[in-house]
This record gives sequence, structure tokens and C-alpha cells, in this order.
Amino acid sequence: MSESHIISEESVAAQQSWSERKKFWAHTLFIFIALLCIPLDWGFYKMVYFIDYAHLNYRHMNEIVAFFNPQFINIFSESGFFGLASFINIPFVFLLGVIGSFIWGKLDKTTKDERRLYYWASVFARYRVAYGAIAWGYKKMFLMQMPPQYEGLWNTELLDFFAKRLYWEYISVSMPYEFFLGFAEFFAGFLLLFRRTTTVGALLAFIVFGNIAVSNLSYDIGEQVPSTIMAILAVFLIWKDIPAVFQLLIKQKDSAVEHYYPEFRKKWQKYSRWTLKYGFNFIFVILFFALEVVGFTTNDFYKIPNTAGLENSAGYYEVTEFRKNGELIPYNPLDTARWQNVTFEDWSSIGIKMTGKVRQISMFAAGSYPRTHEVYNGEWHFYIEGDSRRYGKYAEKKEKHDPENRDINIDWEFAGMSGRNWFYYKADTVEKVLYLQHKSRFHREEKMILKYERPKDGRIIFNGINEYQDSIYVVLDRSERDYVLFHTRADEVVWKP
Amino acid sequence: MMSEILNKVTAAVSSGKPWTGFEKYVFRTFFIFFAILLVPTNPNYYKKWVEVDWTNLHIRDIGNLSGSGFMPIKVATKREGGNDLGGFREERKYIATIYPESGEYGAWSYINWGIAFVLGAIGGAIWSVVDRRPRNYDILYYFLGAFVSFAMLIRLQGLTFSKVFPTQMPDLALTQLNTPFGDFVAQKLYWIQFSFVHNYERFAGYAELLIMFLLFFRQTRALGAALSLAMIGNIAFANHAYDGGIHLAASFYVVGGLFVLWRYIPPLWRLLVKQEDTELGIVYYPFSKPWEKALRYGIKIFVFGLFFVYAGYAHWQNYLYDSYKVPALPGLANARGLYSVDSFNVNGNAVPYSPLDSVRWQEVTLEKWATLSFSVFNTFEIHGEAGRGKQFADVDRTYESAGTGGGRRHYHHVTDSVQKVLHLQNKNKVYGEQKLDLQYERPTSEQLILWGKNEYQDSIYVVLNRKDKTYPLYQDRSQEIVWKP
Repeated sequence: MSESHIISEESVAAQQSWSERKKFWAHTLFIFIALLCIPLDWGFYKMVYFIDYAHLNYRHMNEIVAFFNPQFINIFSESGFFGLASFINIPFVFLLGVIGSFIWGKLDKTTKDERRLYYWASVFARYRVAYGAIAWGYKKMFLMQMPPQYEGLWNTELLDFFAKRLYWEYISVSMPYEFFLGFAEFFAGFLLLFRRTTTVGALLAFIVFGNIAVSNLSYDIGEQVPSTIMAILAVFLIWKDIPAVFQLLIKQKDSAVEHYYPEFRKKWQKYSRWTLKYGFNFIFVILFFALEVVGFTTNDFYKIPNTAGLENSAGYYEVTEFRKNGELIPYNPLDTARWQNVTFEDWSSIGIKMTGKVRQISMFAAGSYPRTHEVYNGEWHFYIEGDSRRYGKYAEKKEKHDPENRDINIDWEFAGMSGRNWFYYKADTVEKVLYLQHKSRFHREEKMILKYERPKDGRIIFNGINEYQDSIYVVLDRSERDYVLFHTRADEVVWKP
Repeated sequence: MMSEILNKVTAAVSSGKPWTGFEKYVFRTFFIFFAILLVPTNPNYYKKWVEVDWTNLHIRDIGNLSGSGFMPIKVATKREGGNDLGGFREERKYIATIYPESGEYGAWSYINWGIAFVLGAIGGAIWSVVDRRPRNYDILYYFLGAFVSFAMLIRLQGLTFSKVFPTQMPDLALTQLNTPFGDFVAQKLYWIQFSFVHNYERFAGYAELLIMFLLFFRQTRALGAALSLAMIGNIAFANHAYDGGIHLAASFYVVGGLFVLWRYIPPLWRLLVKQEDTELGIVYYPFSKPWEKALRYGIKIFVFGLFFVYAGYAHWQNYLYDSYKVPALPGLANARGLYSVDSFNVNGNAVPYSPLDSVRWQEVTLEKWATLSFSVFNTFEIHGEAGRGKQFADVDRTYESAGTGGGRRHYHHVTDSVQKVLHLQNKNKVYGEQKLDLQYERPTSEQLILWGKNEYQDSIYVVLNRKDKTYPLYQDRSQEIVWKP
């Protein structure tokens, strides 16, 4: 029977020393892979320092492990955000590798070969991809990335979605499918945690992240760079096995892969290895899982507000009657003063459809998406702190635990889509008053104070002052209209209004 | 007879160590299982090879020549229109038709595979009783693997090339753009993920093309099987999750892919996981005689020519000139758009705007092609079919309308531009008899006036004005992200 091809330290030492050129590229590759795996951004460490550890939750874990990518150069152009130029940091990091390798060669003339470096680069890449894949996997397995859908979404026409958002929502239609996609990511990451299943895990990770990179490019999602880096690291991990697999399958010859694992002989080496390995695995696999469970079970979906809305109010409402300053305005889809329809959610948000109200659209998540002041002028920007969009909010001060403002700051209801004006409300259920505030960061000054009555189930009457200081009187009736999206196989035929 | 012939064949190609009884039994079972599934027994299939117009081969014909499934039992639904095949003639005869509760989507839809497997298990047992001589099936195993691989890649051509040239999921119609998210069935939302941005559809097509190529060569067959398992297995799962409807076609790539990959797993496991010295240990048929070589190359060249080269060309032509899910007849010239219904009279009486009116039209759209659609807040049966298939007639091309609720009606129309009449026909099979003739007038390029009798034989008079809408979905990246309603 064949034997295992693990090379010992002794045989390494006995082998011939590497050529200068080989060492040069080994150093370059090592620096390149290490920089892709180990955060170098000053902003990242600031973030880690400023995290409010007393209220540690799964979102922090995600911030630490799911998003990191070296992003020092930002090109403010269409291609710089969505196209080829957005990948500029990858060749930049490679250039750093070349420069570093040059200096390394000048300083270190004694080392004969660099198998050890290859081993360490593989370790970095393995754990980088493993933890990233597990984090993204958890995000989908716990239905956080594409959270459950809601009334306002169901009542928005497709043309009011950005491609990115529509792609997202196709996935959230089917919770089992989202879980399945997440599990594929998790499983790839899990396999990468073990030496022997590294190749299989890396292959799966390559397929998963390569596919994600292409879909990001296709739908302008904006995370094409981190997913491409994951795919590159996966290829790096598979690389040494490719000749052997080629030999085996295509040439049909006997084949084997050489493996080199350094031995940890000294006590402190053994203990540090053990501590690092199990420590990181505990934090990014087990603790992370526990925090996800806490988030899931306490209704802490980071994209969904969790202040309860008016009791039993969720639904789609027709505007039966609308008066502005006492004057009755009849239904007309082109009228700009009248509300067209209103959606209520399980949580304290309402979405009002109005005609002719020009609005800035919010874009969701993805730190790589251009902010409103970042115009396409073709300029290059260099940020020493790295990914400034991502870590910007942690720039100077300790994170503040602020559950009061959690919900108004969530813009998932309208991120990447248009069609409705979304208001957050605080309900005074004793006086029966709603204090409403526009949820968009661009229009927070718009506020309404509306008294409400609920004379019967399904009817809500508003009476108060709107965002233009007009007094309005609105009668809303919940529609019983039917969504074919929820039809089961048995009742798929008839649409009842 | 059959087993005699098999004996001769296997005797001729057997060598090496005899297989154990269990190995032989399992192999024979799968041999019969795949033979039943993949060798067409429907005489019509063979007739097509003769009858088809070889000088003018359509993508439909290539699909028909790609294979014919084993289907003694039809799994159907009682939903009205649910079993509709559009323009296709039903040529098959079934032993039985069943209507399981889960419709055509659940576990029951695999019943024909189950039957084939049971037949394989029984046949394998009989075969093992009849033939007790020592056997080595290495070579036959090779041929079965090659046969399954070829069946897989040939059946994949339509899905591949209609994604490479995006026709399987064509552009969204305006009526779909103007329909709220909740008014689509899950199946529809799954399919249209490819319809609003085609680059990802192309990418999926290239991945399937890669699978076809990898399965085509013996050296890369294992990679092709693994990739088809990963990619088309994912599609099979998604089709179950969304009731997508092609779960059988997709699941075949799980079964076939696993079968082809199976014999490569132990050596790959030894090489990659156990990290040992490994040999492949798979016997390939040598094809040493000249006639064998000629036959092998002949078959390969024929398959490549028809199912890669010509199929690609035909799908490209289809994409350019007659995207098969999109109606071909052009609509009213320069009338494409969203229209608001600014005036609606029934028998001379004006019906005011109301989102709740059960007769008044709302939100009219006209497509580039001859489809007019509108919403009416009234109960109706939605399309039973899924809008798939390569239909002949425009009225059967229902990708734009199938699976839409929200009171949305879709009419195919023929324009008589001399008499200024639109001859409308409801695209929904259930309402296929609804035919309306509406006079039209276009006082300005932005206005369209229609009058005539509606489906209740009431006179209607409708004034439509084109709406100027912004489309975030198709917004240029360099545009400001401001929404103007």
C-alpha cells in the first residue's frame, strides 16, 4: 500500500537550497497572500478597539471577519466602483509583495529554502477563507442577509427596484434555498478548518465565491473584490494539488502530492499553536454561532426594525378618503397631494406611496458602494486607514450602545428601491398619537404628528399635521387583496382582489 | 435474446479480475436503470430523425432529437391550464395519469425513475440468476459511463445555448416591470432573476457549456460530472424550493453526475484527503482496431457537430431573429410604454378613478411586441402554465404573463392599421375565447384612445396617456440615484 507523502524537517534540511529567483518569488507570494489574509488597515484595528464588548453581538463578528479586504486605493469612477478598476488593490498588494521581497532578499542571505513560508501562507489562506465563508454562511443560514419579506416590498413594482435589490429578494422568496446557499458556504469553510479536507473545502469555496464574484459584477452588488480575493485564496490552496490531479485523471498515471508540515518541537511553540488554533476557532465558529442564535431568537435581525408596530395593523391599506386642510381630494393616481396607498408592517414603520415626490434613493449595505458625495470624477484616493467607507463610523470614538435609535437607522425597507416614502413612528397608545419621522437620511427633517382612531378592524383614521404643516384627515382601509407569491400549490389558480 | 447478446458483448470486452457477486448485481441494476431511462422507447422519437427538415433545423427539433424520457406514468395537476403545453402536440401514450396532492412538483414526480430503478433491481436479479459465470465488467462499466455522460451533455445543449444567447430568460416585459413584487408566483421570481440582467445568465450558460465540454472527453469526465453535480444540483434544489418546474431535468444531473463520478472518488480521496500515493485504476477500452477508431471518431464528430456547433448556431440565430419566449409580431408603432387610464366610460357613463373598481382598467402597458396588458381589480384565474417551452404561436408565448396575479390581464393583438382596429385575444388559456375588437385613435404620440365592446359586451371608451417613469432597475451607474415618480 502506498504511503503518505509528508516531508519531514530532516529531509527538508537535506535537500538542495533554492535558487535566488525561486526564493524571490516565494517571498513575493508569501507577502501577497499574507496581506490578503491579515488586516493591514489601521481602520480595522480602530474598529476592533472601539467595539462595545459589553454588548457584543453577531454583527460585530461579521464586521471583523466577513468584510475585510485591503482597500487603500479608491478610484472614483464607474469602473472604480463596479468594474475592472475596482480590483486595483489586488495588483497593488502584489506590488507591495515585490518590493517587500526585494528588501527581504537584501536582508536575509542565509535561509536556504522557503517551504516554511509556503506552509504559513497556506495556514493564513485556509483560516482567512474558512472564517469568511463561515461568517457569510451564518448570515444566510440565520436568514439575516436576505431577511424575511414585508408588506412594502410586496407592493412595490419591479421597475422601482435596483437590480441588486431585486436579486436579493429573489433569494429571500425561498427561505430553504437561502439556508441551502448559506450551508454551502459554511460547509466549505468548515472543511478548510482541517488539514486533510483543505483541498475539497477550497474547491467548494472556489465554486461558491467565484460564483458570488460573478453575480456581484453582474448585478452591481458591490462586493466583487472581497469575493474575488476569497476565490484567489482558494485557488492558492488548490494550486499544489492541480498537477497531481492532472496526472491522475488526465494522464492516468500514478500520482501523489507532497506535503510539508513544520514540526513544533518546543513547548512554547506547541502551546501557542494550540492556543491560537482553538482560540480563533472558538471565537469565529462557536461563539459566533452562539451570538447568531441569540440574534435570531431575540428578533435582532440587523436589517429589520424590532420595535413592535401598532397591534394587528400590518397590511396594505387603500386610502378611502383624503382631506387636506378640510378639502376632499378624490382618488387620482396622478394627484401629488393625495396619498395613494399605505403599508403597515409588524414593526413601527409605514410606507406611503405618493406621486410626484422626488426622493434620494438610499443604497444598502456594501461599504464598497459609492456614497452620495463620491462622484465619478476619475480621481484616485489613497487612504492609509484602508476601507474608509466600512470603518469610517468607528473612526474616532467608542461605539455607543444605542437601542433607542436602532430602528430609525435601519433603512432596509427602502434601500436599493424607490416607490414609497418610509416613516418611522413612535406610538403613544394612551393618547393615540403617532409621531412620525421620515426614515431616509436625506429627509429626516420631515415629521408628522397624527392622531389615530381605529373604529373597526382593518380601518385606521389619521387626523393631524403632515410634513408640509398641512392638516390632513385620512381614512385607511386594509385591503384583503391576495398575493400570488404566497399561493400554495393547491390554490395557485385564482386571484381574488 | 437480450441477455445472450449482452453475454457476447461482455465476454468480448471483459478481461481482468472477476467481480464479486454483489458488484455484478449492483452494476447490472444500474445498467438496466440507465438503459431504461436513456434509451428512447417511443417510436416517434426515431421517426423524428427521418421526418425532420434537415435543411432547416429549428432549435425545437434539436431539443426533440436530444432524447426522449421514460415516462409510463404521467404526473399531472388538476389546476386548470396547469398541464397545458401551449403549441406542442401531445404525442405520448401513458399507462396511467396520476394527480398527486403535491402536483407535478413533489416526490411523486420521480415515480418514473422509481419504476425504472425497480425494473433495474428485478432485471439485475434475473440476470444474475441466468448468468453465473465469472465476469469482469470494467469495460462495460466504461461504456456505460460514457453513454450516461453523452446523454447528459446532449440533453444539456438547449439549456446551455439558450443562456449563452439569453433567450431562456428574455428581457422583462413592461407589464412585469409594472407589477408589484408580491403579485408574482415564486417560480416566476426565480426565473426572472436572469431576466433583468443578462450577464449572469450568460455566465450560467458558459458554465453549462464547460460541463458539456468536460463530459465530452474521457480524461475530463470526472471534472464534468463533479461540476454538473455542484452546479446543476444547485439548480435542482432551487427548482424544488421555488416550484421552478424543471426539477426532473436538473435532478438527472445529480444522478448521472454521481454515477459518472463514483468510480473516481476512491482514487481522488486517497490522493487529496489521505494524502497517499495513488493510481487511478480505471480500465478504458483501447479502441485499437481501425473500425473501432472510425466509429468512435464518427460518433464524436457527429455529436459535436450537431449538439455543440449547430445547436450553438441555431440558438444564436433564434436569439437574433425570433427569441422563442417573446412574441414575434410587433405591436403598435412607437406605442411601447406605461399608460395611465385617464378616462374610462362604460356604456357612455364615466367611471371615476378607483383602485377598487371591478370593471375599470388600471395601469395599461403596451410592449414592443403585440401585447397589451392592464389590471382590473376583479377575481380571475391566473395562467396555469409556467410560460416555458418553445412555443410556435405568439399567443402561446406566455413568459411575460404566466404566474402573474394582481388582476393583471394580457392580450395578444393583431393590428389592422387601415381600419384602425386592434383584434385582441386573451393570452390566458382559461379565457382564450375572450376576443375583443377595439377601435383605436392616437391624437398625439403620447395618447391612445380605445373604444369598442369589452368582454361583458358593454361599450367602453378608454383614454390612455403615456407616463414618464424612471426605472431604477435600468438606471445607468453614472446617473444620480434620485427617484422621480
